[in-house]
Amino acid sequence: MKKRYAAFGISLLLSLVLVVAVGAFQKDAVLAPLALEEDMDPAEVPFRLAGDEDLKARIELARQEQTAPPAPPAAEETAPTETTGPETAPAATTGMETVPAGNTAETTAAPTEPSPGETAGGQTAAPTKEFDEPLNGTASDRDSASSRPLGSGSAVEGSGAGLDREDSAGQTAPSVPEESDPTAPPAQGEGSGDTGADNGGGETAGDGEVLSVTPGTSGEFTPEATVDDAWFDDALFIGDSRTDGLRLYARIGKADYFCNTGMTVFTALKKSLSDNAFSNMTLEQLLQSKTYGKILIGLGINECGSNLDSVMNAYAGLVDRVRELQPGAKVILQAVMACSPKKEAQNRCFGPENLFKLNNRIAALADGVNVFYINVNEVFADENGYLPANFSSDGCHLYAKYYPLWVSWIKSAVAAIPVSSEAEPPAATEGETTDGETSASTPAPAETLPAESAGTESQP
Amino acid sequence: MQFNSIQFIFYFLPVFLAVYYILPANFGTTVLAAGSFLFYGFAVGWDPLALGVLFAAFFTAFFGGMAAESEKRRWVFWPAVFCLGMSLVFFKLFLWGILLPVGMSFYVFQLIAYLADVYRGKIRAERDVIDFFAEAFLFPKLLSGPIASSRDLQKYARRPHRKLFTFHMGLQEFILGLGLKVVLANRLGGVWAQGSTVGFEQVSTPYAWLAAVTFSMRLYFDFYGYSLMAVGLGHMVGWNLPMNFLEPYSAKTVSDFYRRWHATLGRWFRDYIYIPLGGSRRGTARTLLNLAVVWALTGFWHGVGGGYMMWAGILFALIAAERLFLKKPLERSRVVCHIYLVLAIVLSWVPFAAGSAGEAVTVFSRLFAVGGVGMTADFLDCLPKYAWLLAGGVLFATPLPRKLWGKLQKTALADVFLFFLFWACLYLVATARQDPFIYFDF
Repeated sequence: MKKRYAAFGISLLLSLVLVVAVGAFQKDAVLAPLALEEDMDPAEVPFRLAGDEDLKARIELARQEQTAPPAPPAAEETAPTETTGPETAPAATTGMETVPAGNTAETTAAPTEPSPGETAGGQTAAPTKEFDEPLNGTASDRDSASSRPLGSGSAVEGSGAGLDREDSAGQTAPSVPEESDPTAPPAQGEGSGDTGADNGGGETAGDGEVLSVTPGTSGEFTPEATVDDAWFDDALFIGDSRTDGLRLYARIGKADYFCNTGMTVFTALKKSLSDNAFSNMTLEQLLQSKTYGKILIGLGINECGSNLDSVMNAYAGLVDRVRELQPGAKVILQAVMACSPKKEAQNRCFGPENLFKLNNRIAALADGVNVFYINVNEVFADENGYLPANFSSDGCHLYAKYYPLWVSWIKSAVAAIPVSSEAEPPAATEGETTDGETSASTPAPAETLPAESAGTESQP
Repeated sequence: MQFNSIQFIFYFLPVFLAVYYILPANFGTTVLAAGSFLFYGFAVGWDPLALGVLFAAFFTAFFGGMAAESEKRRWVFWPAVFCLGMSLVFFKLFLWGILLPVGMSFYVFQLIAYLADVYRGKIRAERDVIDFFAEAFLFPKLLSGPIASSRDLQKYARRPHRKLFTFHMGLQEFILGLGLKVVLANRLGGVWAQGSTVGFEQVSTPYAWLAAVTFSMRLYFDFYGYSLMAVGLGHMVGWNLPMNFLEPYSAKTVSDFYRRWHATLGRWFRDYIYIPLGGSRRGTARTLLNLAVVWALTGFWHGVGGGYMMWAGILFALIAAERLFLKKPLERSRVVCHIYLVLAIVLSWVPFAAGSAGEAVTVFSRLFAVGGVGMTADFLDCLPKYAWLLAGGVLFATPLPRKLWGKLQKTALADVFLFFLFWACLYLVATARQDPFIYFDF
């Protein structure tokens, strides 16, 4: 019997080899997520620069930058432009031609006809630049998109629309103090602490009158000034599983969809896929075989665990290649939709902080002329930057019943994008002469024509 | 630690087998006990609660078993069984989903079976602590069965069948099981998973059927594959463990299906619940009551959710109907019975898969096109992707592959095939591992 216990001990000892081996093996698994966090340079997270330690506060601040006009001076400047914009054709063109993201290095070539833009936005960039260089271009895009429903909501606006009013007020009248100062403590920032909660909680929108399109509203949204299905007749959606859901459950008209589960900016050009109008083609082949007027790219969730710089290199390469093959098309980059806390629990890279950073970089690819950025998180993210848990079972993919909402949001967001063919050629030809100036001048007020007119028409 | 994980296949198993076969045969069972302990430790991440529960159950059964042979055995047996049973109830009912230690459902049943066999005098109580540990917690059957007969376990603990022939057969079975699990089951699960991701209320009716059918296949090949791996591992160490799956989809009735599906659990309920309650010998009403008890417990054993209860309820209703009037016409038929069986089984898995009764109702409403068939784009998109897997699933649900395997098993061709199958599986496992989304499932 003693022998047996000795053998028991010996075999346990021998198995220590195994423990060490498995331990060494599992080290990768344990350390990988940590490495992921390490390669996030804190300085690169815009809202960290605000000096806020609290995540919620930081996100809120960041959101404020996104939704509110970038800075008080900007608001002051834009207000007049906006009001005059719609009626007078010249003002409108002003808005359209200013290039939002002109201050980023990549897009300096794109801005064109800077003169009108300068007058509109000359001073705006400076205050917020350090936070959101990449954002400026897109913030204005987004402003234009969001301002429409907000402003026009006056007809149906009900008691729940306090936040909206505030927002639109912030754009036109800089006198609202909390709104106009993005560096102010974020808690009061937009008054979203209370109104946002109201809206978020009432996502059933019982009274049907909650109209907010600001982040934090989680699904409430009344489309105004949208495009119709025909707008998408010459559109192509490129995307991952989330876009694939759109394809299957909320297909728009005659649009083409080049998407499948697991697609990334790294693989988008290599994969062979099929859809109603094409079969077994790579993206290159597809873009060579057919001319599109609008190309919407919805990628990024599968990449969010990878190194950001390499992701963005690939993303920029993809956009360049798409532009090269389809010079006449408007390329519309979609923000990566937020994930729920459940998803973040699986991996921090799905959290709002990382996605926000990624989205900022995506937004920076937009030039406001040929490449645009739209941020669906206005409808789907809650006030903390998460997808609400009841929108998704896995925390990442919407339930199919929410796809129509997504589609109607896209339809309203793209209404701001000029698709007339005139807008494009000058962009290509005249851009280079005025690089230096545009980079400083363009960002804030750049409203595109339709947006402006829509927004201002509805002003009370 | 799953059998289809890289850690198990490349680290645990080779080291364990080396130690097992290098040490003299006398120490075989000892090495098995040590290996099983380590295996469980890895599987639960050395969670003190899980290990504590394991040892508590172990010593309850060990000393309870010896005492159950004594004069006053009644006073030991029932409390011991009560403790074991209540530990399971406690974990399932009050802490379910969070804390139930891996494999507890299985080893508790194994230990209760052992105590009952000792109590009835069918076997002698095990007096060797290490042997008993190996019998109770043998790592191939520790996490998900099969629940083996105590008599067999005692036999193999004393004299394992350590022969090259057995080892070879075990290796073959292990790889086949791995193939079923990795190639078929893991991927067939995608349809149902996608359905719950997009929300079942939106899927089209054909898609819902595809999801229900593929889920049934997934469950079968997952558990069948696992059980085959367990039996194979048993053979590799010279123990003969019982087969859990005996071509269940060849059955003609639901009652027969559940004699062939997870057979060792069914046998456990028959031997330790149904027959002690009187079985079918006390009239129709009593028989139905006994069946109801057995199925309620079976549902509970699988989980506390409303879905499991609904699943068990449907099966009880079908089995009762068969016992009362359906059995004879079904057994006489040649085609109708198979259609009936597949339909009944596929539909009965729906609440099982849905988890909650509410979700099950949603899926049923889509299956039967309540509110219209819906947009079939999802189905048309999905079907081509799963066509091969579906065909494979149908083929492997028939007895044909097993017959073919019976002829090929001893030829060199079989080993060549298995060699490639093995590396293909590892490729699938390894690539799945790098996928950031499945990554954290490991």
